[in-house]
Amino acid sequence: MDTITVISSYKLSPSELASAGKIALKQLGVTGKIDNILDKSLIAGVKIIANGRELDLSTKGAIKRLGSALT
Amino acid sequence: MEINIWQVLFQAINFGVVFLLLNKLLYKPVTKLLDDRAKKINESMALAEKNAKIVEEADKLKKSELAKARKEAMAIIRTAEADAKKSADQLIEKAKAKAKDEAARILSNADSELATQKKAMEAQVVELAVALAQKSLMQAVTQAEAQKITKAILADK
Repeated sequence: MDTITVISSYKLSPSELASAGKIALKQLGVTGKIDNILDKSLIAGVKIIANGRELDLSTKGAIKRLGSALT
Repeated sequence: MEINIWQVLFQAINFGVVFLLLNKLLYKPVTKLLDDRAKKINESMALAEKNAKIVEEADKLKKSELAKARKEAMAIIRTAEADAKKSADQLIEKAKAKAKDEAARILSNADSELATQKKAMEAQVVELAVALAQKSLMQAVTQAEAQKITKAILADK
């Protein structure tokens, strides 16, 4: 059983964590215990890390990707 | 008046003797002297003519040689001028080509430097824009808005 780390800018509700778990299964193919870590710099959205893989669904990540696309 | 035959005879003999003497002692030497002198004059004239001819020929030769030398000198000058012009043209062409290459190289370097600077500047601008956007959003987005956005993202995925 893997551990899924969900980083967000505020403490997620159980239903939001459950949604994050579904996304982890669907996108990363991982199930397991979900840990919620706070990081205000994400602004909005979440970052899901499991099995050394990362799924960035945050506003910060989106801005970073936009910046990378521009250079 | 009576003619004395003896006197006439005597006068004739006398004339003949005087004539012979004059002829022998005066006419012949004078004639010879005159002939010699004329001969000398003729020889001198012939020599003078010959000398004049020699001088004339020498003058002609001198003029001819001078003209030939002048012509050769002109040809040498023309050749030297043409060579000098050719060398100068070659030098100018070389200098032009070198200057052109140098200008192209400088331009290329400048273009390359400009492109590098532009790229670096663009990267810095984007980096700054990203940082600014993050900071602005962090300040602008409220907790409620962040929750709303997060819910939407989770629902969408």
